[in-house]
Amino acid sequence: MSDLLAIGPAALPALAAVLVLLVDALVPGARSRLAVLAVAAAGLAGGLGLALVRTAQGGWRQALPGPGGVSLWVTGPLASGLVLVVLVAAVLAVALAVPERDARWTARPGPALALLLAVVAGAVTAICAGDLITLTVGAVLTVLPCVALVGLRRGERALAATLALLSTAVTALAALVLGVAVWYAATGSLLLAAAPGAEHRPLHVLGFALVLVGLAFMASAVPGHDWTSPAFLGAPAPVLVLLTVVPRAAVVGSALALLPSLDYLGLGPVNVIAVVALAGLLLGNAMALRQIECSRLLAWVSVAQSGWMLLPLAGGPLAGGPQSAEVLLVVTLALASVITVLGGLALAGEVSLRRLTLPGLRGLARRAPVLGTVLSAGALTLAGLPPLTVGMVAKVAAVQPVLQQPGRWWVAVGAVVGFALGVGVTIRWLRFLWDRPTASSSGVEPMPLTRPVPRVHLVVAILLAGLLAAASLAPQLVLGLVGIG
Amino acid sequence: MVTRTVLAASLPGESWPVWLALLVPLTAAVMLGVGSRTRDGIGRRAALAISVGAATLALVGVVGTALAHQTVDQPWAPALGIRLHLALDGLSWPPALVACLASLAAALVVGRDDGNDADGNEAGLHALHLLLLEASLVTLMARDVLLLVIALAGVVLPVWAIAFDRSAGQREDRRRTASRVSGSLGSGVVLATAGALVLTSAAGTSSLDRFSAGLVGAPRSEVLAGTVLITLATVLLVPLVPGHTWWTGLVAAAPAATRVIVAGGVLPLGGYLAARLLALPVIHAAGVGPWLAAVAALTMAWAGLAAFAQPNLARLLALAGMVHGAGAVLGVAAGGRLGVQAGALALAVAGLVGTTAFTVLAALERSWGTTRVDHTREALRLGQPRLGRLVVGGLAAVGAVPGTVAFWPVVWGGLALLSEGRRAWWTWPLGVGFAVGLVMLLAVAVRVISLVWASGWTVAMDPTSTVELPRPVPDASGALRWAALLLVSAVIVLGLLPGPLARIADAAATAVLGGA
Repeated sequence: MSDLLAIGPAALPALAAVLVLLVDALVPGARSRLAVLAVAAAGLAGGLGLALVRTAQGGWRQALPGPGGVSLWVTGPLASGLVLVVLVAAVLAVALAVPERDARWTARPGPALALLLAVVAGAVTAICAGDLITLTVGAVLTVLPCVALVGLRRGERALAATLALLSTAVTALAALVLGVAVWYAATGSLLLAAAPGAEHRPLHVLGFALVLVGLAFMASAVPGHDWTSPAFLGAPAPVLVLLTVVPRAAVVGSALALLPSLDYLGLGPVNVIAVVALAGLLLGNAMALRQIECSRLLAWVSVAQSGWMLLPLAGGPLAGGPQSAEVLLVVTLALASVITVLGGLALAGEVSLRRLTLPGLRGLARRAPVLGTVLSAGALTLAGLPPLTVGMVAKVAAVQPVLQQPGRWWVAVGAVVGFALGVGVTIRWLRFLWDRPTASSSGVEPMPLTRPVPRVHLVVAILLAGLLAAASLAPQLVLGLVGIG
Repeated sequence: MVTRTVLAASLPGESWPVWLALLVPLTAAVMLGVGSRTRDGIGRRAALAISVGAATLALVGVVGTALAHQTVDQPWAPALGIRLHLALDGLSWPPALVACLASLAAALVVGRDDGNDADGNEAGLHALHLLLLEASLVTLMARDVLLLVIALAGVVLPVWAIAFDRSAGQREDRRRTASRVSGSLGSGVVLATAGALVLTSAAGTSSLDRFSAGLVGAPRSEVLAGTVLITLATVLLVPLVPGHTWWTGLVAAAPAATRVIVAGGVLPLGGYLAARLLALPVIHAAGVGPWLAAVAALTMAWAGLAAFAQPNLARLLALAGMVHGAGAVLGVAAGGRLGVQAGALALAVAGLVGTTAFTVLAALERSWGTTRVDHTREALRLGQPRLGRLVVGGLAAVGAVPGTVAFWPVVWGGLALLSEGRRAWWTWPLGVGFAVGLVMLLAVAVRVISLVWASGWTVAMDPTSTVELPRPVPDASGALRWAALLLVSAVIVLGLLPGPLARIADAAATAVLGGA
């Protein structure tokens, strides 16, 4: 059944992006700020409303009929859940942008909001794509506005971050486009649902590998992770929320659409995913163990979490989709809570996010118990350590599909080592947070909080921590809300 | 729909004892944890009342659950097939009961000097202890293997927090202790989780009720891999050599109350994991048992010998606890019904003896101000007779003296090793390790009793002497004395009742192996 409303969650933010630019150009002075915020909020609220309706309805919907009666836009229960995750992350990013002191967000937030809405539209498009061209358009629409968002900030570091992001993005998109071409050569079709000819197997695998490299960049997965650290150092909190959540959701959605068409190839292609996932979670956690700057630490943790997110897909072409989405949701909640707190602290300490260091946060849980507790909750969830059991549930979910395949012990061994390293990263983090707020042995004083933490950050942080706690007591209550599990 | 189903299934109904045992400690821990961070904090008496109340209600819940055979069974993470299936059986109720008693004793032991930092108060320590009780009870009640290991992981953070924030020493010392604790316990939990995942994947179910049947016919390599992982986790969690350094380090630095709850509520979980999974016939057939038994026997011999020369009573009791814990593992690893009976009984007894010994030590430390025996002081029999009797009773239990509860697992263990059909060549060196460990424990108990109870300076010294004597120290008194007295009485009374102990051991073996 063709359902044009199914494209609403992408169309409304895209429309809002155009309107934001128009309003920003036409409405003069201070009124412009409120007007563009209102338009952006309306676009996201509309998309969110439609996504909620779709999630509640369940089932499959198709739109934009293509050749041979196959639709170019397909949304199933999992895709609806992922779309919801994208839109909620965008709403969080807008909320965190309100107290942001950066001139790009406060004086004239129009361009930034338009880019944010474009990222959302692109990610939703990639998640719901029924063919490779739509997927590529979605990917481009997700990636390029992200580059621009990071580049909005002035300064050398922002410029370096933008260049790093742009150069990797261009390479990755090139790989994606080349992969699409090879895929087409192998299968004679751009539709994801098309059954390929068995005689072109090697070409099909090559096409898949190239597409995967393109998508790996979006998810900060190894080897496309290079941009993560510079971008995290150069981006403000609202952009970080967007960068950590939205492209990942797009990648999971795309992978879920791509993998079933590889079923006839057996487990060969997913070995590539297994290697990428393991490399990410081992490298990310190992590097995170050495970081002092919070932004760099967050960047490497984010790389590791991408590995966890991709790991379930290594269980086979038809396995691991729900589990991958489950990991994504948990990681999203945890990373968003951490970024929200760090963003609030940066504003309270009147420094940029990249100046926050672990020694500077020494004793935070004693100086600001609420923020310290939320930050600890996020870190514990990322490691998978109870009492917030939802993180460990996500780890179990990630490994379970892999173990159900014979001969995958090496993936399990890698995952166990990654898990142990992740626990080490979090314990190190907690050590600083719960230490006494005195100078370190190297003389670094705890960062003074000269202003109160913005109320928006506090409310969002508490809300996210509450969700993590609720999900720990009854995982299904939260996962069921987004149609996952 | 899902929400409604979960909420409907969550209503207490007839399963209220299970919820009482699980929700009360958690709620009290949150209250105390949040309260300790408020500006005014929570008063000492209020924190003690909340902690004692929560531990008592948890005890009532455990007893109610065990007596009425109450069960909670509902979906928890359906996508993963994990159910919130909670109940107590013959294997799990004795350690659950001991964990509640340990929590109660720990609450009474918490004092002003127990590592309570300047800006905090005792409420935070009570909260962490209750979190340990919570993790312990969920682990013991879980009838789902994955839920069991998830709950088991719940012990890592509270123990780390206590080691990092409340232990003795400078910042660097505390950091080192905390790192060692989190590294060892964290690794143990990660290995246990990995092992459980491999085994559940092989069995096709994570339900303990169907686990053994599911493993029949499972690929041998997967069963072996899972068994090896669980075995390694056991070495770290019980702990056995060489994975024991976190425990001896923690005991030397942690507050007195924490030693009590860790000895009674956390250490038995490693043995429980082994008894629950490694004793299953299909897993035992994987052939890892003899290796684990060898490590356990080595631990018994080594810890027994090391304890003999130890001047610090806290470390001494930590080593003695390792001997008891290793005894439980030895029984489980030996296999067979008699072995499981011995292991299960030793598991509960080790927790009870550990709780008793560390509670008595807390009373002694409060009087002496130290846990070391190599200082000038009055003999307990002369200066603190009440405390002296408690020390003698506690050490008798530690030494597995006949007439105490610790004696019976020893008898069972010996019988298991010597039983018919168990005369494989490897049982003889194990028997030597077993015997050395137990003889050394007895020797340790006798040595310490003679050192602290019988010896010391006496009041009959020359009154004209100018040697300055230490000031007299008070005898045991108050709630802590009564708690210690109750526990010492329990280990002696139970030691005189082998009949009920035999029924407990048999029920535990039935829970693991079935009625055969």
